[in-house]
Amino acid sequence: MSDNSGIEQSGWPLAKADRRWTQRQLFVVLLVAAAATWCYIIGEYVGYYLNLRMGAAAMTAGSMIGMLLVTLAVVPTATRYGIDSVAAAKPQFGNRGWMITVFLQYVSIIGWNSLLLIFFGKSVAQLLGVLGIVDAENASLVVRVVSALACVGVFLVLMRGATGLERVSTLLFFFIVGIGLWMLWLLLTNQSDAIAAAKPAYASGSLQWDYVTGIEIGIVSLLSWWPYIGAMVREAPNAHTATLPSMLGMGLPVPVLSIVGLAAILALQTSDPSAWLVQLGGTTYGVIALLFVIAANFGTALAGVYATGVGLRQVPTLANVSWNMIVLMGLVPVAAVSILVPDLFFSNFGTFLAFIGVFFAPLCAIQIVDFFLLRGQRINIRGVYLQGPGTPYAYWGGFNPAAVLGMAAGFATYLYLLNPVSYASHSPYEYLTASLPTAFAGGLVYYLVTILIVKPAGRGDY
Amino acid sequence: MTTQILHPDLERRVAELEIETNQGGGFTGVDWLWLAALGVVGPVLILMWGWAS
Repeated sequence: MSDNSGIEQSGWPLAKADRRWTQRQLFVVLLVAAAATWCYIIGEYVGYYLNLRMGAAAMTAGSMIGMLLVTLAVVPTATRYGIDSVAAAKPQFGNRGWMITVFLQYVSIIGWNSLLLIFFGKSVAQLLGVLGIVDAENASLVVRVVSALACVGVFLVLMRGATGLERVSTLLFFFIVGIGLWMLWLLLTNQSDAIAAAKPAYASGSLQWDYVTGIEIGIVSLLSWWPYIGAMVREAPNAHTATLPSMLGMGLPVPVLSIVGLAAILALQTSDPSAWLVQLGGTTYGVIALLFVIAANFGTALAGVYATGVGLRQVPTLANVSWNMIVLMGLVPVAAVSILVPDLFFSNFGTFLAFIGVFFAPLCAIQIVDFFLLRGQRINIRGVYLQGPGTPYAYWGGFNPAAVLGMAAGFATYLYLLNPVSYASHSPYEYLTASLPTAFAGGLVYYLVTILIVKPAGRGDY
Repeated sequence: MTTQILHPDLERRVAELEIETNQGGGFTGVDWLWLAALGVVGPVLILMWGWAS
């Protein structure tokens, strides 16, 4: 692969000649980006409500539905014009309103990366504790130091941009897939009785509510891919090349690896493989688990910070800042969270997931409605890069009211259906989930406001 | 329409992508079938399988 790192880091559209990733290359990069230890935490959350079979079904179905929404929202625009998720949202949000999507991308990727690196630090501390190298009192310090070192490692690789990302992903691919499947086999063969007898710790008493909650967790987990996917699929020459890598490479690893976390929490009451593998096979297994955690989380953290960098490049004031500085802007907040408040952040994972659903479900729906129903699958690529009044996506003051109202409608719908903090719900959550009605409400409001107000006013280049 | 001057390299890229033959193609019919199978039909079948347990 030639080194296109200069243009890839600029945030400008990739021309046809620049987009040479094959289906296999894209599949590997997307799979490595998706396969991280957040899967174990996702599986753990589902395991609070459902047994193995129902949990696996709910997570898998929810994940694939979520991946469909993200794929339809980003892949057609990103692969047609060689642009990332944030640039692809400018036609809907306006040439100032798109900052909303930069903010969402920045916050969500920082959140996920913080989670990954804290998990990584906890795994190292866990293993060092088992080996007798570190005592419990110093475990917290180990978590912080290891997280900071991981940030340095990510920075060093991403100095090479997407070329570094693709090369490291290829190296990590077989390791992640192989060890992941081995762990699943190990759990299912050694702990099948314990898994079958396990009772979910927080089952609500309504199997239907628990099942829908499992689906909801799957959907929102995969909606998290919105900020990531554009920066990678834009390297593909067309939507056809990206379809299966997106659905199978990025969509399927999460539920498959989440089953590991689900089975582990049901059988062994912990989803961290560096804890339960030590229980099953001693320190040798613990070391293997730790290597897996390092490989999986490192690849995903790389992809996340890279996508953040490409997204931040769209901000005019950051257009001329050095790539290394852009990478640091994605890493410093992660380091700060990992060092200062690792336990507080880690214990509020469920609320963070709900935050993803609140914002990314309507965002995806708005993009799908706009691109497929309102724009005939075309955008004004020049308009994406023009600023100020009188430009195609200036709308009113740079903001598209249809997008703002669509997001607000989605936000209100989600909060009514499911409280992100307490997980208290209102009907029809138990039939429809929270994310799907949220997406529908956001898309419908966007469509109506566009048809009734924006298009008649001659705004938005429709 | 406001006249703005883009960076020369960005201008070259935008001008190139404004020509439809230089754009990436959209989903094909086969892609739509995959999307429907993996994102709609498959999840429904999996949910039916899981609920039956």
